[in-house]
Formats: sequence, C-alpha cells, structure tokens
Amino acid sequence: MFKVKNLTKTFTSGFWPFTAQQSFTAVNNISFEIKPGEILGFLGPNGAGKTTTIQMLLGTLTPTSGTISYFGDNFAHNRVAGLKNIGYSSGYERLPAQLSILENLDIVGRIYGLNAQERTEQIEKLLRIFGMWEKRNERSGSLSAGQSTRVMLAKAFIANPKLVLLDEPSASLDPDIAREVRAFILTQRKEHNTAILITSHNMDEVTELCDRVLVLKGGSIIANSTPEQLMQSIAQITVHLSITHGFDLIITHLQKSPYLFTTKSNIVSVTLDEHQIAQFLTTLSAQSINYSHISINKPTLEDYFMSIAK
Amino acid sequence: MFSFQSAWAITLRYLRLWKNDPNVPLFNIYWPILDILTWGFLGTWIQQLQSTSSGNLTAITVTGLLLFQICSRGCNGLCIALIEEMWSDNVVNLFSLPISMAEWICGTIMLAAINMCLVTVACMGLTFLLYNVPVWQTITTFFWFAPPLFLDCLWLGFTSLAIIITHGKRGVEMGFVFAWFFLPFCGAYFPIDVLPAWGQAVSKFLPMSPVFAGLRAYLGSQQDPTPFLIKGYIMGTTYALAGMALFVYCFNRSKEKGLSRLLD
Repeated sequence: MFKVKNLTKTFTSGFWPFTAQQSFTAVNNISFEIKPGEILGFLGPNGAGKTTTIQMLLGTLTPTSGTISYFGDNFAHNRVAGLKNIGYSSGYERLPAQLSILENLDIVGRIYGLNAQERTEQIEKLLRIFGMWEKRNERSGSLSAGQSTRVMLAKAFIANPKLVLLDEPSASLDPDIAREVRAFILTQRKEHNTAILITSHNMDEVTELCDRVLVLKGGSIIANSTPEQLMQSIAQITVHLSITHGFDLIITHLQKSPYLFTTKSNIVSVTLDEHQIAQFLTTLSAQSINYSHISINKPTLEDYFMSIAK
Repeated sequence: MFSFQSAWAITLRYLRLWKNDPNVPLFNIYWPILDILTWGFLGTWIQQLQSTSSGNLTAITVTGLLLFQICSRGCNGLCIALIEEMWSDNVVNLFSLPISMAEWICGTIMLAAINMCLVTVACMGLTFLLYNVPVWQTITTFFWFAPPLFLDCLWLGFTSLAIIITHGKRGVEMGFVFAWFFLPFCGAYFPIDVLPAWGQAVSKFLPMSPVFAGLRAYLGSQQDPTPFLIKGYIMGTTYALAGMALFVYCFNRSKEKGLSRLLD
C-alpha cells in the first residue's frame, strides 16, 4: 500500500565560496512499508529524523534520494493523487487563525474533492467526536492548543483517507481527550481499515495503539518490531522486596553481587536479568532472608526508549 | 535612577537586529530613495508642462495612478495569499493537501483578479467624486489598459512570491515592496522622457512602460494606443509566464530545504 525505499535526506548549509559548505544527513537510507489497517509507530529521540521523514512523505520536503510510493504510484510523479488518500495532522501546526473552524474544514473538504453534503456530514461527525461542534463558528486563532489539536485531527480524517500521518497527535491534549482520540483512531482503523503512521513521545500511547514500531536514531532505523518485542529486548527488570528479616544480610549479599540495587526504608530494589530472578530468590531463602511482599517491574517501551536515547 | 547603560542596551539590541536582518536597514533607505525618485521626477514633469499645453493633466495623472494600483495592489494580493499561510503556520498543512501547483497558482490569480476589480471600482468612484474624471472615460480606459497591467501584476506578484518562498518570513517585506521599486521607471505618474538616460534604459525593460506610454498618448493627445498596447500585451504575457516559472522553480528549490523552515 505504502512503501519507502532507501530514503535519504541530506541538508547542505553554507554558501560556497563565501562560507564552507557543510552537509548533514537527517535521514539515512531508510526503507519500510505500511499495510492497510496497520498502525505504525515512529519513535526516536529528538533529531532522529522522524519529522524530516514525515515531511518527505507529505511532499513538503524533497528527498535527496530514494523513492516513496503510495498505492503503487511513485509519489514524486503523482503527488496530488497520492495526497488524495492521505490525511495529516501535527500537534505543532495550526489552521489559518482568522477563519472559523467550519470555514477552515470546509476549505480542506473542498480540496479533497468532497461534495457539499459529504463536507457537511463529515465536519459535523468529526467535530462532535472531538468535542468541538459547539465551537464550530469560533475563529481558529482563538482556540487553545488542545482545541487546535482536535481540529487538526478532524482535518486529517475529513476525507476518510486510507493513510493518516499523525505527528505528535496527543501533544497538548488533556488525558481524557487523549484517551478519546486513541479510541477514535482504533475505531477508524476498524471501520475504514485506515493505516496510520504515528509519532509520539507518549510511550503508553504507542504501546496501546501500534501494531509495529520503527525506531529511528541518527537518521537510521535501528529497530522494526512490535512494542512487546522491543520491551522484551530490555532484558533487565527490577525486583522490589519488602524485607521483614535479614535486611543487613541482603545488603551484604548484594554488595558482593554484580546486581545494581537501591534501598528505601525496608524495601530493597534490585535490577537484574529476568533469568536470574529464580537463582536470586533461592539464594535469599538459603540465607534465611524473609520478605513480606515482592513486586516485579517489567520493562516498558519508555525503558526501551531511554536505553536507545543514551 | 536613569541608567544610560540600559538605554544603550536597548539601542544595541536593535542595532544587532539590523546586522542579523538586513531587511531593516535596507528599508530604511529604500522608501526615501523611492520617494525622492518618484516625486522628484513628477515635479520635473509638472515644471516642464507649465510651458506647454498639457491636455487633461488631472485625468492622465489620476488614471495613471489608478492603473498602477492594479500592479501594486494585485502584486500585494498575491503575496498576502502566501504570507497569510506563513503567519498562520499553515504552509505545511496547505501544501500537504491534494492541491497541485497549477491549482494554487490559479486560485491566487483569481484572488488577485477579484482584488483588482474591487480596487478599481472603488477608485473609479473616488476619482469621479474628487476630481470629476468621468466614469465612462475611466471605464473605457480600463477596458483596454487594465488587462496588460494585470499581466504585469502577475509578473511582479509571482517574482515577489519567489523571493518570499526562498527567504521565508525574512523575505516578506522585500517581496511585499518589490512592485514599488519599478514605480519611478514605468511611467505611471509621469512620462519616461523625464527620466535621465539610465532611468529610460531601465524603463525599456519594463512591461508596464508601453502601457502607460499608450495611456498618455490616448488621454493626452487622442492618439491610437494600439501599438503601445500590443507591445504591452506581448511583454506582459512573457514576463508573467517568466514570473510564474521563477516562482515554481523557487518553490521546488525551497522544498529541497523543506517548507516547514518558512515558519522560522
């Protein structure tokens, strides 16, 4: 449905012969594809190349090399046809401030080729879903950041596109609205088989929504997997024990062991590999160290993100 | 207590802005030079007219002024189309919609045409009320002379847009006043004979010059303006197409750096 092959973007700065030319590769030879109905997460630290990639997918930034194809067509040759099937929303962009929400969405609907009835129905449906119908006649410039984000989401889905690119869709949304937006995205996928590419710094959101995650670092894809597999790739987990007997013993034991640990009151937190847990607990038992409570923190996508961001 | 150091810090702040944004000092000298050229040559022409018969001086001057508004206001109208998107942080949104460059250009040209019609109607009424220049005469004049000037407005407008799409917000002011740079040389307010040799050389390359020369011949001495208009239409069409091609070229060049940078 949608394929990116060997996509590269190199920026050159400086104006020879006045200043030395310098080049910087923001996106380096990345390839991936999205299938209908798939929700693909795009993760990476700041400057990893996520937004640069999205700009190229939208045709507002020309790639240095590589190809993008939508529905079998080369995007470079059929930009408008490709964009007819694509919706886009960014948490950082706004619609023209002087026009009302209705006026703005009406213009977007016209550009997508919707007739008057379709525009009216879609705009009302989406604004009601995003809780913005009552504000439909307000100027876009008077909206809060969260309200603007919701209008941008309505814009992205107005033509029931086959693919939606969402750049930080829940940035500046309240948690309850963010939850509704996530529910809407899942419904849209279910009802219309919409494929979605989403960038987000909200790891819980990515874990909840995405079937697969691409991880970018330094412009290259360093992982392409499900959120679960990425989390499992972090081998180390943390075990929290509430010690009732033998506190000094366990500290002495841990100081001699290779495990990282912290203490707070009678709680000892030990970081170790998952396969070492059984051995560790057996050792405690052998030394008559008793505990009243044990909890195990499995790695999250955020842990994975933190590990690659280092 | 008054601190001179604080006052100097403020002065320095703006001086550093000048260094980082050459638009500011540039436009400090741009408008005075433009005014000196325009009003200086206009004064010279009026002085020359005192010794000759002038025809309907008011009608010629006011109609010339009015027709130049087609170029300048139309050009500004085109620029505003893009500037509005930049001010609204909407450039990426707009150009990520399924709209072709031809459709966007067509849309902005229609906007410029509507703008031109509104300005024209308002100005015609005003010139009749204030200067008693008859509306029927103005309409006839506009019928012949407005289309080539509209083509010139497209040339000026799309060249200005090329500047803006290349330099982003820093290029807005330069693009916005681009049309006015040609005012002293195009013969809108006074005939180009008044200009010095170098100024006349500049005017020969301007597609507006033959149109205004024809207007002067038509209103001043009832001469047939057809040869002037033919030249004006040919030059206007050529320049308008060149301006659009330049804009499309600069737009594509700008996409190599990314349209999102226009918002910075």
